[in-house]
Amino acid sequence: MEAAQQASAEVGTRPPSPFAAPEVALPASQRLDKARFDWSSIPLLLPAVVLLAVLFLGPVVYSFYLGLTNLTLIGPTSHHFSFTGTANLSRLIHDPVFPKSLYLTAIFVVGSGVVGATVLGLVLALAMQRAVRAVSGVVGIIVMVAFMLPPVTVALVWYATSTGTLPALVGSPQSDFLQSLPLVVVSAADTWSLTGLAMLLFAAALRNIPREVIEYAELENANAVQRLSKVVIPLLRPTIITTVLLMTLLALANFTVVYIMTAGGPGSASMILPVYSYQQAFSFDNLAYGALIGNVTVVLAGIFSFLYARLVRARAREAGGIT
Amino acid sequence: MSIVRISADSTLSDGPNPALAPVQPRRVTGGKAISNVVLLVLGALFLMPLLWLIFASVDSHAGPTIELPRFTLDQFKAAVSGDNLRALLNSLLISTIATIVSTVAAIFAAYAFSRRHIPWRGPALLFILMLAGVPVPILIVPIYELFANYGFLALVPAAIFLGVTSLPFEIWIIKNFIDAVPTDLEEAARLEQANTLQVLLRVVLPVAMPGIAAAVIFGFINAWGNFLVPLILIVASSQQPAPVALFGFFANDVIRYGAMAAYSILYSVPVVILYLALGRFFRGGFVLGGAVRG
Amino acid sequence: MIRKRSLRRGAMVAAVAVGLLVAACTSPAATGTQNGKQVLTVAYSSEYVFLTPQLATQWWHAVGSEFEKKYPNVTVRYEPIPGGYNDFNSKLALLYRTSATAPDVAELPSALMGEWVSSGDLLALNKYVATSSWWSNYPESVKAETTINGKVYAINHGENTEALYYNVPMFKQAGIPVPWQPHNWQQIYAAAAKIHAALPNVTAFFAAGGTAPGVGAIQYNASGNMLQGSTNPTIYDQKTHKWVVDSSGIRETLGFYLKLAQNGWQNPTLTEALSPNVVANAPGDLAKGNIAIAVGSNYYGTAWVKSVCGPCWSQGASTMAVAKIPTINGQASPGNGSSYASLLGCWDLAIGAATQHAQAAWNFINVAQEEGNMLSAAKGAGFVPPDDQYWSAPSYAGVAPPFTHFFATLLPYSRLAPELSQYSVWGTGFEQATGAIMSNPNTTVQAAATIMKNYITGQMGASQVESLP
Repeated sequence: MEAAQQASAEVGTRPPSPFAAPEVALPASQRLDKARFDWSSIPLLLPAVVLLAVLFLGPVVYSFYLGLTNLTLIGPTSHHFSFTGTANLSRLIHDPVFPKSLYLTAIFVVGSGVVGATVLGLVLALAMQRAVRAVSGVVGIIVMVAFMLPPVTVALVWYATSTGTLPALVGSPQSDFLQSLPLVVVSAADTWSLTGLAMLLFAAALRNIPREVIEYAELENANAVQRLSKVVIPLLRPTIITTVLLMTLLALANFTVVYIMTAGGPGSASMILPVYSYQQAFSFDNLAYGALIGNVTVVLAGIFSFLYARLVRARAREAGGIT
Repeated sequence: MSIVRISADSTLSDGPNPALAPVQPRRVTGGKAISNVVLLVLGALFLMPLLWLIFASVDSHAGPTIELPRFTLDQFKAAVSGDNLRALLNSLLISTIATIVSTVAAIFAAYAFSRRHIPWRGPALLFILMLAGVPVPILIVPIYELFANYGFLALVPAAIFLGVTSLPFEIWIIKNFIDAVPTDLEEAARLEQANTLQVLLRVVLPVAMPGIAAAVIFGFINAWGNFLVPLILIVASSQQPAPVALFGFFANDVIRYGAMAAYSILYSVPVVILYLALGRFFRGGFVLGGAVRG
Repeated sequence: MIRKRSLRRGAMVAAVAVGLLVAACTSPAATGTQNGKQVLTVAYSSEYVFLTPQLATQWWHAVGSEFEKKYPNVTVRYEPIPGGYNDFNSKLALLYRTSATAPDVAELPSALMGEWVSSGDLLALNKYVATSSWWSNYPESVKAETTINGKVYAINHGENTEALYYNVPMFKQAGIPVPWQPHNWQQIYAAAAKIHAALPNVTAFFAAGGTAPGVGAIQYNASGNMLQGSTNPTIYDQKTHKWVVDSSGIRETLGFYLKLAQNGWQNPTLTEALSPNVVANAPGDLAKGNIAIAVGSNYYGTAWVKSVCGPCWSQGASTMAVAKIPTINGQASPGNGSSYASLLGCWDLAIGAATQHAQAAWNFINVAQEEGNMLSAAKGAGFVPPDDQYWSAPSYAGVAPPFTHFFATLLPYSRLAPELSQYSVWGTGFEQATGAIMSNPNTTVQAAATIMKNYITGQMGASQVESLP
């Protein structure tokens, strides 16, 4: 208070207002309007930052370097390898499998992550709020079991399903969907295993919506559909955007299930980027080239994150929404 | 923004507040019916692939495609034989360590990102999020060399690394939930001279619990199902977890589908228990307010 | 009072837990001494080589105990490596990267021998084999597997050879005289046609293909083995150091697949033939009794035996018989002059170049090569023992007659695939071609060969590949 009065006294004629901001630049440590970095934030951030820097960021940076070398898993350049500059990059550009892999990855990620897991997770979470406790409990467990099965089991389960159960159900027991529609089947398997997480996130977010808001909408004679579209969904918008992004990144990083089910085949029909990276690194022993393809995945992840961050900021600005 | 005090008392979460008037029953019934039907349909769809797992685990002649089982419990006996139970224990150990490491670090970091002024917070968060999309295989070789040089090729360091791989996601999930916690609660607590840790633990955490529960489940499962990291980073076979042991049923020359299915079912049990234990944060109706502050 | 007690108990539990955890914090040193004894690290595949993981543990521990009794100043530390073929090789390669983790003795596949040697990870063993009693009993082709540029880098642990399994009752039903030994591919086609006419619901000729099972499957299925019988079986041209992406041999093999596909002689649902687990399922598939002829490996017969049960098939020896794979026209194959063909696959024991206990490691290998141990490995892993003295030994031949002895006799003319890591790229291209034909019988050999050529050239670059007439 004194500072403000002092400041305005110095400036001159206007009557001192207790609410006026100081008009003289005070040293940063004494300013009250600008946010300051609180040193007690450091111990809060330290564990995560140290762990991420040493065990995550370090290897990622090293991997970016490895992508430009001639490192192999076995062979003459396994122990003594050297920097090869743009040789791997030019190989990437001329690699006929790479653009196909990019394309397949896009379909896989959008299909199973963005559309599949998010939509199903939302529908499940919404339905679970209203349904009979027993039903929602059992269905919840089934979906969660799907989420937590290890990739080897998911792969085998879907192998059996796509070559046995599904053909039997649709009445053509000789067909083999894994051979004829490999990308569809692996996307279905990925959706099946990711939906549980989306469901969890939405269920937790729904629980944060105060009941009064729904009651109020009901008092306004909004029917179920209107309540859903005009009240619940907008309130969930931040969670939806976050979940879409998380599902995208999870699908992008997932490779074990696809690798075990099809190894990218038949031919290169399901050769998404992480599988191609793994094949190059550990089947063909080209560690460096595999690392480069993996780095492309990291760059893609970066692009997705950036786009989604833009989206969040834009929507927050236009809707003034609750976050 | 918020005009209600969200009750942190979970005992109120499981049913409607008798203090509020019930809504018109007709609408509730309609909504309930649709919800039940939708759930049953989706539940059946999700169950269908699991049918093979269930049948094969009790089938004495289990194969890769679904068939009616010739009932036997031998598959479960095979599943618990040898080192398989120890592998399950190792899995529990790994996942617990990984989850504790990642969730604790994530809670602190998320709180800082949410409530404090951090320079370049936006880009930092974005960067952390981007890390979530890094496929683990490209990290394996550098991490292996690092661990090999320090003699860390064992269970605990591998578990810590697994925890770190789920750290970016957990920070994001938890931060989003902490953002949703109204700051009035904290301000009230600070007026009562609470320090940061107390504010975090006693005020923010209970309210953000659904998000933390989701993060815990995510971190646990991320570590639970991982095969590549333990395979590469753990040398002693007595420390290998269940997904690696699963490969024991997958020998080159003969695949024991039935035992593998039985083992997978056993392997699901701990996570289902975890889900049920944390389930109260996800079940039930909308959170209802306690007293509304005018 | 109560609180104090539970606090103390809690502290004790925590202390024990921390103690256990600390033990799980650091990796075991791969080498060095322990209790004054030398420690010898032995790395092996826990799942992929022996027919069951239990058999693997049993065999290695038996050899290890026998070794420890003979050499009491050395203890063995076992390092079983889990996972499939690629996981095993990757893990072993990583273990070799640091001397702290490099094993003293390792079991490894001959398929990558050239690569292991050029990475400098293996110790040359010439001076040791010179003192051995058994090395001279191995056929030249077997010795060549582990000899690069005149230096011996590994010792053969067991071999796999391939031949044709055929179902005797089905042959009789179709009116084909048994025992059956085709001398060229036309005779195989004739038999398949007769089977298909008489028994339309069985698979006349089961030929696996496609990329799903991985390059390792080429060893065990029709693709690699029929190629060995073609007019030009060259995969890697030793003279030009280039990989062959198109040749008469490749086209003849693709033509074989096309003939099967177009006549409906192959597996009707394709699921099993294109399955990623076709190698592991093969003994079981044959035991189901739906297949008339198949290219198969020596270990199937051992798998059917009661002590192994992978799966048990007591009628195995009476239902299935074996015939050698003929060359396409019965001609003498270039290189070994045989009119029969088979791929040779092998697992070896090698000593790490960084070892500090070379003599102890050699002693271990010596123990592993003793007759009893070789024969129990042959039984447990379904190997043919490399030493020709054992082929007629009752303890080997009697394991799964007549299969065990028969497959041993194929060793002399069996040929190795190139022992270079680029083989996996070549193999993937080859499997893409066979897979394309199996999925679409209306395609042509030309189209499939183009797929193979384009893929391999795209991966390796035009300077590494060539086409042969």
